[in-house]
Amino acid sequence: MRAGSAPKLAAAMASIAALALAPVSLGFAQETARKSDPPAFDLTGTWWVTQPEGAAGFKPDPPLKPEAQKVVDEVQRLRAEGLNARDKTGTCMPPGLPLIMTRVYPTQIFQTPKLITMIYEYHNAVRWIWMDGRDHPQGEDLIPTYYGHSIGWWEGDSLIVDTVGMHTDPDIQPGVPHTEHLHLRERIRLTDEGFVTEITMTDPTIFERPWVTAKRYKKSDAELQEFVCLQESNQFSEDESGVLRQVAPVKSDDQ
Amino acid sequence: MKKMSSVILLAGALTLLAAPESQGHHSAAMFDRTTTETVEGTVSKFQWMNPHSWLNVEAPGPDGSMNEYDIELTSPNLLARIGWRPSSLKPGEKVTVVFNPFRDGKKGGRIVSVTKPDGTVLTERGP
Repeated sequence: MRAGSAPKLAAAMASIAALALAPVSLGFAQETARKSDPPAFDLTGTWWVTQPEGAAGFKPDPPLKPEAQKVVDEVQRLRAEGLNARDKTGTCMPPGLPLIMTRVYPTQIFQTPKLITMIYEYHNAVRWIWMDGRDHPQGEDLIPTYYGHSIGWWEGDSLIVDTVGMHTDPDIQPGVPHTEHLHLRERIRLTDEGFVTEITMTDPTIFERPWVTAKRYKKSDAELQEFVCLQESNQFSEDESGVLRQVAPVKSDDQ
Repeated sequence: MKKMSSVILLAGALTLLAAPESQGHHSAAMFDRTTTETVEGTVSKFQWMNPHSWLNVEAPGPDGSMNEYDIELTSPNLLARIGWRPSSLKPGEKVTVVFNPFRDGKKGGRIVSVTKPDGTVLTERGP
């Protein structure tokens, strides 16, 4: 019964990989340094994504192309069987961007004129948003990373953050794949309780049109804690079809 | 001595019991959130680790043989914020564990509560 699930998921992903090789218009590659307005606010402090939206993935559902929809459908079918698939965080792997925005842990932000640093407690992840007018690295200089390359500038009451170069290993959210062409454009604005980031995701192989979603954050007095995930002691590993299987963890002496 | 029971809970009650972090998280699909089981046994291991902590409880099965139940909890960071410590459960302690069972029939599931003989109740809402 479960054996049949592996080829379907693998085939759907193979189609996406083939489609991603086709030439696409790399809008972000033309992104040049922007003339920035003065800073509209200071995000320095600790913030917590609001519930219940925070943990519920990105809403509304993405406008998927048929090949990507097949992956989502297959993952949903597996979930109905009680199986998790394509969920890297369950195997201790880094969530990367944008999935880290769905983890309900505090985020500490340090804002300076030329650099905004975001430290996510989850996975001890760090994001550097360059505010010094630089462009994204081009061509081979754009090396894929889990949290991508982010540049930012101010537009009126908003902080605009543009991110490219995100590693394709983690899904956007489990079951929603992306290619190396994923591009995030965030518009961050203050709200009564904190701030909201409106996120526009584009990936011509995956989405029919830009996927517009948002995450809201509120101020927190939480102190960040270390978060280290050791794969050798983890309970789950991914089989060849992307389904998480429970494995016996290595006996630990640190109890 | 040994007791196992299944209780159907209302969806509303489940929302209250489930830790916020667990909503939509990777493990959600693996557990039957509509049912709980209760096991009385002895802690054999409590692993304070990411991405999720694990409690192992040894308890006699219906035929009297000893079984080990794997109980998943949320991450150490989220447990620590609500008062848990790595020492909250020690090997050898007698406990009554309520959990949402694995859907694939494995013994164990996701924690609902752990009760100690002195009446202390540990949940993902705090000890």
